[in-house]
Amino acid sequence: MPEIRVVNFSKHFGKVRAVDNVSFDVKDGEFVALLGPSGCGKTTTLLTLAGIYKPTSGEIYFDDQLMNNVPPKYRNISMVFQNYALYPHMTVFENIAFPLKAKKMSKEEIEKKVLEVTKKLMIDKLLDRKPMQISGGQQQRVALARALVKEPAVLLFDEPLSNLDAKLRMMMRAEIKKLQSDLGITSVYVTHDQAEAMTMASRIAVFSMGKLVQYGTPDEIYNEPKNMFVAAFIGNPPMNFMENFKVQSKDGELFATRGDIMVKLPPKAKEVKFEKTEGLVLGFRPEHCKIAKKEVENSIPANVYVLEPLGRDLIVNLKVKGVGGESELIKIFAEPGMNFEIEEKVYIIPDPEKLHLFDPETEETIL
Amino acid sequence: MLVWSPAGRRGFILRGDKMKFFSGKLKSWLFLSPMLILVTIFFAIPVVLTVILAFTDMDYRFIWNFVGLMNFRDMSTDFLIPKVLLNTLIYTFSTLTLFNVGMALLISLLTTSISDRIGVIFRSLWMLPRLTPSVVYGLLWLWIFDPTKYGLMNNLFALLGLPPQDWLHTHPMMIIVFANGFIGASMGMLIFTAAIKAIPEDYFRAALIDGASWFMIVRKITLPLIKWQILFVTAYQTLSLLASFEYILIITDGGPVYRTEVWALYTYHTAFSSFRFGYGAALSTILVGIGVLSAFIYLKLFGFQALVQKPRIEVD
Ligand SMILES: Nc1ncnc2c1ncn2[C@@H]1O[C@H](COP(=O)(O)OP(=O)(O)OP(=O)(O)O)[C@@H](O)[C@H]1O
Ligand SMILES: [Mg+2]
Repeated sequence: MPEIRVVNFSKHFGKVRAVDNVSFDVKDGEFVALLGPSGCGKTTTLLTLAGIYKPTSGEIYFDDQLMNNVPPKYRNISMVFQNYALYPHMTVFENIAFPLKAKKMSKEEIEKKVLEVTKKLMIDKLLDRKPMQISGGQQQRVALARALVKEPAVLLFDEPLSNLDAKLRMMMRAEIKKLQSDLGITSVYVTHDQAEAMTMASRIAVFSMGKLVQYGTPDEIYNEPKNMFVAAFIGNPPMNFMENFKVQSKDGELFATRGDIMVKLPPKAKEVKFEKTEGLVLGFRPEHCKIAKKEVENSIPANVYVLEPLGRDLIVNLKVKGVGGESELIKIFAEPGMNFEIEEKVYIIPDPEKLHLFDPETEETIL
Repeated sequence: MLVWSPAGRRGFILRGDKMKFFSGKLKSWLFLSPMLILVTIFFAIPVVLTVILAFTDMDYRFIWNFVGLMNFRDMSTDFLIPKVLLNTLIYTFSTLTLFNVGMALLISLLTTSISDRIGVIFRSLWMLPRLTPSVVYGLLWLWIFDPTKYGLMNNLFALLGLPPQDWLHTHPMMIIVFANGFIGASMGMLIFTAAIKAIPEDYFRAALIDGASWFMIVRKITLPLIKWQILFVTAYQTLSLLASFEYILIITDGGPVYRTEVWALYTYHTAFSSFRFGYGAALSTILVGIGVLSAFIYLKLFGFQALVQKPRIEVD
């Protein structure tokens, strides 16, 4: 299985810079997710890896071979499309056999391989049906079977689960991950669903407006987001932001303050060189806070606004009085067993180790 | 105006008696009526008149004199009929396969495989003859195959040092097939191109990634997915080739010695040169019959039933 290297890759369509100077690598057998909102250039990147598009500039390498001008046929890749791209006039069998027919394999061999892969994916009862006659989930499996049957060196996925219902998506998520790790095929998986990327990939490339914002393990992306975009994109609900904080030192400790709000920063803040100490954005995740009913030190006073019970969890929506009079909405996961009244006054206690500070102009992470 | 309200399946805001009036069969006929009236006036009545006329021996005096099956009996002894029938068959079949469907498919497949801009330019050029008046277009072909040294082909031959040829005498059928084909291919080209462009791009991408060659993609994906359009163009062009004769009239007028006399042109000559309207109508009737028959054969051949999908929504 090859290692993929993308070096300073750009793809422009006329004036549209779909992908702009992106570099990343995928190790042999690794599962990498390209994550980002709609229109950020994920599909464009994937189709360039597939050889459907040629880079406007930059290079694509499989191992040490430059692939820029190698046609798709000679890349030994497979791709699963968002809408599956199953040929509507062919049966399930013919669809899955198509890549093998293109290789001019013998009839017996094709039959053997199709049966093998369809057994594994539990669609061997559907071989005579047309794609229109099977369910979306089954179509998904057929698309997967067609991709796997030719035993490719690289697997490309373009939002393969986005048309399935939530339950089926969770199931296929695990199944694809297991298949990939069993087969050890180098895989690039495009998605706009952060949960999918976090659960499946060993590394995530976060895209925004054609640029690669951050590339790292799910852990790094989650705990050390490079900027506010990544911080807000990962996690559900996303990270909370509060504006206009000052950094002040008191008794040898650093604090973020706003009016009468004062929260303690972690010791590692002392190693940060602050270019500015005012007008910063404070960030913390909903799951990295506690809620107290009585006032405590280093907490943020707030009023309960709306409750969102999720069965196992409870998301408490809180309003914090902002600077100009308008208030900020903060979401926090409450500890199990806590009860709240609407408008009740509570105190948010963020975990100081998990606090972040951002520069609102550049949106870059300071802490 | 009917406004949908979610109250019930028949919940139009026309209630009570009016509702009843608009319900059921009557409503369908009401909505169909404009089309039915047009079809009756411009299609049904002429066909019926032609068929009735076929049982008369009407000539330049326009007298309705019914003669039973005489015209059809005459036809079976008309020594020109086998010749005309064969000409029609050769003309229709070659124009259809070589140009109206064949060339049209080839151009569509090729111009949708290259860059969009060049494809559009090429297809627009091909449309030009459509904009040319028939007579001018006919004369153009006469000039191309002019027997003197001034004809285009003979000019080219002269460049090669060959003597001028009398094309219209040596290859009259080929010339009328070419003339009709070059203009006729543009319709198929338009329809096939639109159909190919409507195929989701991902099918082609998937096929390319799966290692299919251009030929395999055409054969296994493009052609099956535009099967219905191919059937339509084939059926439509068969009928229009059977019925059309204007370019043949201009270029060869059926000659030399009936070598390009096709059924429609023979009908025209019978009716408007010999003024045998009754016999001409009988010939026309046979032509309509052949047309209807061929349409049915096409539908069977292409498995029309399988092509028609059930509607996704149920309408009552
Ligand atoms: N063939 C094309 N011609 C012109 N512009 C294009 C083309 N393909 C993509 N684009 C543009 O490039 C940008 C990136 O598109 P791309 O399809 O890669 O987005 P994406 O990240 O896959 O989005 P989504 O999640 O909606 O699929 C978009 O602004 C899009 O409009
Ligand atoms: Mg996309």
